[in-house]
Amino acid sequence: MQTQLAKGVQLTTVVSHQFKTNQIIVNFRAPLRRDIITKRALLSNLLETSSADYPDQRALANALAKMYGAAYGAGVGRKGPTHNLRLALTVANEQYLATDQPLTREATQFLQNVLFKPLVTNQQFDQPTFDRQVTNLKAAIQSVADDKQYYAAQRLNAALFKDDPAQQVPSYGTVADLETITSKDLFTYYESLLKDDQIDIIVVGDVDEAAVLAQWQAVHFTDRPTSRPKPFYRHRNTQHYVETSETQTLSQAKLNLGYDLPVFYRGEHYYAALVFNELFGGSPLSKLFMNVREKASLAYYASSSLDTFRGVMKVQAGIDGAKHDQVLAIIAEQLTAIQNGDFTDELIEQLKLGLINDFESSLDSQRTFAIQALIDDLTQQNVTDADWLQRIQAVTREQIIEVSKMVTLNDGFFLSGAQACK
Amino acid sequence: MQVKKYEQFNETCYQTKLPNGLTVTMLPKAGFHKTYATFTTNYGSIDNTFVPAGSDELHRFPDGIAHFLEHKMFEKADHDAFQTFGEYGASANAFTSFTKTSYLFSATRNLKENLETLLDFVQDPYFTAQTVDKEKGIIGQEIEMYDDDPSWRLYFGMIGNLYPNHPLQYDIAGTTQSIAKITAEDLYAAYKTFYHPENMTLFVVGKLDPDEVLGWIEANQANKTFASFKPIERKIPATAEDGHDIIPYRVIDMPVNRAKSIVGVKGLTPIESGMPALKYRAAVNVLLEMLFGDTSKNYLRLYDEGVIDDTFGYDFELQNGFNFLTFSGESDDPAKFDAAIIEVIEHWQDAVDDQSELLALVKKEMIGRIVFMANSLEAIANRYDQQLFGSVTLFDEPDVINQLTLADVQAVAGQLLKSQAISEYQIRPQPEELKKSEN
Repeated sequence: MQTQLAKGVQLTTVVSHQFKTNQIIVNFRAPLRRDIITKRALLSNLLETSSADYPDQRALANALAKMYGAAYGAGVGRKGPTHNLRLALTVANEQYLATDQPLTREATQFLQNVLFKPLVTNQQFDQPTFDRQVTNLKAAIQSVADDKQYYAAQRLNAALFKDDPAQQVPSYGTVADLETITSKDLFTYYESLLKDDQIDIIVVGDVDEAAVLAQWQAVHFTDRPTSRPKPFYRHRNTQHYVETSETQTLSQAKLNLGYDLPVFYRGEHYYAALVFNELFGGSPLSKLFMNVREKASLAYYASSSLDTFRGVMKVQAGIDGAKHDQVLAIIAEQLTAIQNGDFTDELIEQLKLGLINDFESSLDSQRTFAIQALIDDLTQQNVTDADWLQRIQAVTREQIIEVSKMVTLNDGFFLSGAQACK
Repeated sequence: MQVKKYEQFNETCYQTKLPNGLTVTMLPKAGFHKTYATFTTNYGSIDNTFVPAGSDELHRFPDGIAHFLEHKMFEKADHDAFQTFGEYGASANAFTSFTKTSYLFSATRNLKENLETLLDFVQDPYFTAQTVDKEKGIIGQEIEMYDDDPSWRLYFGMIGNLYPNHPLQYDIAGTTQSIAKITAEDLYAAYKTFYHPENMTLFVVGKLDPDEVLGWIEANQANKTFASFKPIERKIPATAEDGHDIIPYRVIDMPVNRAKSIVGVKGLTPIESGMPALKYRAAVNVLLEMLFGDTSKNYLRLYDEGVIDDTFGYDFELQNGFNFLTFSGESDDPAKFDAAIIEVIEHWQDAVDDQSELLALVKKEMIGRIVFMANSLEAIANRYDQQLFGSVTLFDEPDVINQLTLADVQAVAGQLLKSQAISEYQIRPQPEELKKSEN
């Protein structure tokens, strides 16, 4: 059931008896701009750890524990040209506990308290709390570089979107920005976010829809002044390959490649692109897995993934640094092979079966329903399960070849180990 | 077939032991699309010295052999089991822990074919000198990847401190040197010893009809013959009961941006398997929440003092034959981090004695989390450990938690939190000039 609470504010309830928990998600969506990214990341940390009713983490944790250990978290993410700040709360369904405590009602009240009663004095966030979260976010951003796979992926992203800082910067922000944000600025921004952002509230579980609706209607959201953000960002195809590299002390080198592939979520070529990705590097039956990892033993992992909200494809591989050229060549050969139709119909049927398995499996996760509702709202389209299956099954080998010819290698990032250079 | 109903959860568990010794457990989940199956042997990285089947002498095998065997099981003379699962649309995987090796798949379709594939590939070994050699390159890369992972190094650094004379200290995958020595004969010897149905369990959960599934499994197993089972003799070295062999402190340098620290506490007394083990684990988890959980006084104090941050975490590892606690986090001052953690551990009474209200809150939280796990096929299957806990499942845990008293928690704390069992291990950032050179 879907209800518009105000212009740009929607409540979606998905009733399902499959799960023993109920889940509530509140998503704030804004057009992506370079200057809001770090602010929103910091806001998500503040909203996760404090509010006027629960001024410190222990008070907040106690409130959650009293609801039989409700799980609460806030986070940020980029989707195409939008930035999303998301609060999620999962709570046990009381029918599986020896209690008559109204857990879902309490959980909703908790979320509303956190959102609308932040820990604020004199029009700014409580200073010690703010300072602590700035310090922690700085530390977290700096530590990201210690995860080499993540670091390499981040560097590739920066290369792929070199002419657009808003797409380049990690969705969790930068240390430099944190030096300049004050707690007053941030609260001012938070007030505008509450007024202007598109808001989606999604509730999934065995819930009483009328009761949920009444509880959210009591909030009195105001109409959003701006129009809906666009769902897609178009990556600029540079037509030629540029590789950046860096050497660190590490034993396994990383090679990350970025391709232009102008195919967008549930648009033209979308279903063929899904099968193409499975064939190229998205599954254990893929060309990359079979030939780079298994046959040639050049990599520990080698896989591909699509970003159909920005029109790119990425390859990530962990390799022996001395074999960089060989790996680059063999990855290119796999793409050429697909362009030349060098794959069997039987394999395509298996890949489709794998995609169908993933799709049907995802229906066993409560989170899938919430995320899908958000994407449907962003893209303003809705595809039924049966339709999705039918469209995957209808993909032909010619369509896969056509997609493979739309792929252009643009950027690469090579993180090599010092040992390999000795 | 034994049938156990869990009224509170509206779930039913079915279990039986086949004539060949294999224990089969099934748990149907209404409304689910997927079925998840794990086929597990009680054989892990610490089992490197044992009497091979057909022999009567202890033999020392190269470290990492259980994990190597796991990798090689997938490859057959004319096909790869991954491929077969792929053909049926399933996704398959395997993992090796200290005491277990598990093979698993999940699938929404072709359950019979996928189950038969799982049973058949694990029960049909095929190793040659050539395929064994090729695998050494792939596993060598895996080992290198873990060597670069600071969290992994931190964890194994601590295990090395707590168990310096025990095979636990070796990386589950072994080292490039140890795996170089593995031969096809070694793999067959390990296979014949540990992959007997009597030493294995099969757990199937999700979309399934228990009678139908059991029928398929019985028919598949009836077609195979196995040697008669003899109890496996493994040699696991004893560790000092007073903890005198523990290395109290070590530090290494790595190219990290922030220091990382871990404090470990070794369980010096063995824990009886079955219900006592389940109760012990629950009591320790309650104790940890009372000492360091986000509802504890200590957590807020240490967080506000900047000693710990969101990277702080703790874990209790309880396996057949050993148990230990770890507390880890990133810190700009690891010595201060360690000192603060150890102080809380050594004065645990301050956070536990007379705290019946906190105990009630923590128990409530833990019971709620069991309901969360009931949504996950993987959690239900992976939490099952017949060797350690007997035939209990996730759904038996709320009763165990409900019955815990403050006296139980105090008893466990007194038994586990001993000063002589504590150790520290740190990773410091390398000096800047060695760290990176950009080009």
